[in-house]
Amino acid sequence: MTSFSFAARNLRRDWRRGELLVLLVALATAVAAAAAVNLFNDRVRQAMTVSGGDAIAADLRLELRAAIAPERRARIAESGLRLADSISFASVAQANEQTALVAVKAVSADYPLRGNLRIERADASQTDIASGPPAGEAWAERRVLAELGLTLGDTVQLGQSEFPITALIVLEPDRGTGFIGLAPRVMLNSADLTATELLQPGSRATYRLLLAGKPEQVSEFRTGFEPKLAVGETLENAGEARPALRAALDRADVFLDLAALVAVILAAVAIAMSAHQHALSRYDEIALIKTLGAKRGFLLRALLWTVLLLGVAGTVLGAVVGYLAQAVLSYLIAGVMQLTLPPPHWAAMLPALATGLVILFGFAWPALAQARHAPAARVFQRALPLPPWQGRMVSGIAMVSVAGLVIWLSGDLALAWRVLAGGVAAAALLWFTARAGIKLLTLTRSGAPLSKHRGLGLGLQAVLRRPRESALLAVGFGVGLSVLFLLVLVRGDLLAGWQQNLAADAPNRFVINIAPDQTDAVASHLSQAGLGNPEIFPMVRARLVSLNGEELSGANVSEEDSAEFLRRELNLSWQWQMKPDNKLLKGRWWTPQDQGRDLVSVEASVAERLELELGDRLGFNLAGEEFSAEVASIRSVDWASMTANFYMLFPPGFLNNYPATYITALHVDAGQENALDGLIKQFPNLSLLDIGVILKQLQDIADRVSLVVEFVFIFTLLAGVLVLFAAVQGSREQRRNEAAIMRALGAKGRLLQTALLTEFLLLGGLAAVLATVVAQTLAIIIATQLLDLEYSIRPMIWLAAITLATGAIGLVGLLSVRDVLRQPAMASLR
Amino acid sequence: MAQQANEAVALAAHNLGKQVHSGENTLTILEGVNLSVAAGESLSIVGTSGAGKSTLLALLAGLDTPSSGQIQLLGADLEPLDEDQRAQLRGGQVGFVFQSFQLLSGLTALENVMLPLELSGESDAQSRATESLEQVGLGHRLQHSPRQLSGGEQQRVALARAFTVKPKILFADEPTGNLDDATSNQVAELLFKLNSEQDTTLILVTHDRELADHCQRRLVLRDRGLHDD
Repeated sequence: MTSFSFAARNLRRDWRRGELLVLLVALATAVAAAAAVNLFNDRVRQAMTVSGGDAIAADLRLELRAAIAPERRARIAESGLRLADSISFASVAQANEQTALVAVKAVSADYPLRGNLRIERADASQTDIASGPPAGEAWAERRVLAELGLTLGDTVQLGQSEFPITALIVLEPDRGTGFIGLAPRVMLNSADLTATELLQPGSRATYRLLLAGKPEQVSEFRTGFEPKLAVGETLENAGEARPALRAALDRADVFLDLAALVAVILAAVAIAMSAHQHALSRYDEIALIKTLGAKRGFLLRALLWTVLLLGVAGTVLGAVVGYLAQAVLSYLIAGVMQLTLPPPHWAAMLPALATGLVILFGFAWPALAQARHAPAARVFQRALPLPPWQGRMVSGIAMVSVAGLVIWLSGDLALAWRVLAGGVAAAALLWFTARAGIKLLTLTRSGAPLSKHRGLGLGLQAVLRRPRESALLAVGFGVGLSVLFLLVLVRGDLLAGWQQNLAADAPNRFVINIAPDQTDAVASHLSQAGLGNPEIFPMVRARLVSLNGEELSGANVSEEDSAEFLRRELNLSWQWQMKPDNKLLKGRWWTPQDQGRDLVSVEASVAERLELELGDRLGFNLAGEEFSAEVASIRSVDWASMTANFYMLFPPGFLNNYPATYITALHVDAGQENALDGLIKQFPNLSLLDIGVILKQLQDIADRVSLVVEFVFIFTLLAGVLVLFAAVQGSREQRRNEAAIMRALGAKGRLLQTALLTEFLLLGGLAAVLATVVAQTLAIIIATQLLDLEYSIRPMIWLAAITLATGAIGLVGLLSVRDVLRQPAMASLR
Repeated sequence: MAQQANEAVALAAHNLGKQVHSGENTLTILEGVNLSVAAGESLSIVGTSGAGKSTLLALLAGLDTPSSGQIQLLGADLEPLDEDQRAQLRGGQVGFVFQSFQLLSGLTALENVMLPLELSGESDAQSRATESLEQVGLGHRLQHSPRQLSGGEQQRVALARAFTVKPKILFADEPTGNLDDATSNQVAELLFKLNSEQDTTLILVTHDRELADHCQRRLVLRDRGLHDD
């Protein structure tokens, strides 16, 4: 017989007995968790870096300050990518002797390269279409028609040309959500642009070259082209164009890594426990086949085959489940991301497969390999001692392999270090307090006379008779419960804090373009319409151009997003009172003496990005006119409050001489839309920005991303349950045996039940209390260290958790030996 | 001449001793045991519980190492052999029958009997094992698992497993200890029948004098040493 067939036969038998179920499921869980998270991350990463998407109507978008030179465009075309152009600028549309500020976008024939435009025709039918308007026609948003008093088919004048509006734009894939997109859209064919004479040399316009192709083409082009970008040019993909999504996914990444890591560690613990148990059950058999002539080499090979076969089965199962799980994760996220998720690289599966083998050899192998040293003479003498347990070596192997895995899987040394240190500290805390708890129980023993409550006494005795084993069991329960508590109870709090759920009355509309002389009238209109008394803020648009006299440009700031920040016009404002959603971090707020002084208060993220200190002097450019101010304070802003906030705040009086418009943010309930219509009718120059849609989108992203995280938590939860299971299973045989002997000695079923229940309730209660402490501590650490959230303790929940967990463990313990209580004693003893 | 003598002696022990250490205490189980068993001879060793019978059996079969003294099993000195070499010596030459049958519960009767044949690389394991089971009257129970067999049947499977390799020497440890009288007699009869058919050397450890009397020679283990009865 070969060692392989021997191993295979034993595995079949052990499988039928259900001995290996916990081990196999634990292994599969670890692999599945690692695979799901790795594959998903791989797809997201691809999507964020190479893949294109609807959000920019292309795979890549090159943004320029002037029209691209034809020869440069031709060179880009040689890369084999498909190209399309779009030019956007603000202009005034005229019709019926009325005018409206519109955002014109002229697009070439191939626009959009990715995604579709949704348009509505005169018959109110909506269609998705992968092209812009044909030459000679214009498409427009409904607002344009409303502002100019037009209907579909009417003509609008743009510059020197007139265009019939032949369709309404319902959805524009690359519309963007920034403030630039405030004015309503009019879309033209780029062939008509010259004739309008709207663009003259020096006109401000955004020129975009859209690119699409196969992922490897795109990636190759990007690598080659990026170094050739001139100052003021950007090349970005759909992911980069959507910072909010990116931020949400980055944050989710921490959760996902954490969930997968903890699942892997817990599964490893369950594997170690059940492998140890399995090894113990193999000693007699190994002793026997030694007497029949099996050599140690044969046994070693057979055990190796056992582990390998188990490893292959568990890993394949886990890989399949992990693959399916990542498909679910991707499905959950793809909709809100509006990104095409490319299929995962198979290489991303490798860490998961390696995880299976590493935890199997790190945690199961040492225990199983030890079994081959079972002394042959055990066939005659059951009492013969087992070979000394090489605990230190075993835990050494286990520690090294889990540490290696954690570092490799997370790819984040800091996170890995925290998880490992947290795990070790938690295990140590559990172990020592469990031992102490059992010591404490010993003291109570003298006070409880056995004769009165025999069941309770027997249960207590069972715990105290084997203090070490009892403590180990309590630690096993404690580890499982800690994770369950953390996931079931704290997860909600953490995720809720993370999603930054907006208050129900958070503003969902911005009214902008309010002229200085309209502020009072607008305020009273809003107040009369029952929309409250929203504060109205002045706003001046200027660009930041110098720091301490030195010119700031994209070239001399380190980060790409800082360069982008400098290119944009900033909204400057002034106010006497600092708003409640602002917090002073450094410096001082205005005093009456600061009226009209050249001081500025800078928002913290800007200050950090530009490395500003108090006393630095910032230079601004407003339509060619330059002025400067000294940084007097640095503020943090709670942007999630969705009220009007500004990066740069000045003392009142300083910006008085510059042209300002006013802005306000308000909350509009579903029934109050009419009141706003009235406002626009009364003040046609106002623009209304519905940020409810944007908010909804952000909220959707946060919801979906947290759903993704919760889905991965299922694996962690399963791994936690497996640890509990392995802990019960580990002591089951001994307990069954003892119960059978007691029955044979005349103990009634009820007495045994009480004793077992007492034992498990004691251990479960101890474990639950300890787990509460561990979970609570971990929750606080995760909340404050990893997620920058505030976290408060809720004692009532913990009390309920302890009670529930204790009861559940008591029940599980009782169930695990229920067959003994039902069978005649002899059947269990035989 | 010496070579011939060795071949005639299946098992020999010289001045055998076994001590176990438990903490600071040293317990002497066997001391100065001398024994010589001729090939084909049947020997019973009787003794009370705790006299060290099982320990002696484990030492003689090379399953455990003595604290002192030498053992020659089938002409080979056991002392210089490591665990694997001892396993190799046992494989196909030494059979065992245990009080608690020691069948592997996950294997069928047939697979249990095939096991030692397969371990020593026999190619016709299945047919030989089937034949052995037929010899002990269990030809109709080949595919039954040990759980489905009575105690007597399990011990007969164990006998089939022991004799199927045609061992030169068989160690039996209380082979009827777990069986009722009637079944004991059947199993004992079968044991001695197979033993004489195959001309196997038999070392039988028991506290059952009646069973011991079936053997050609009987020794008593008492006061840590072997004595003539």
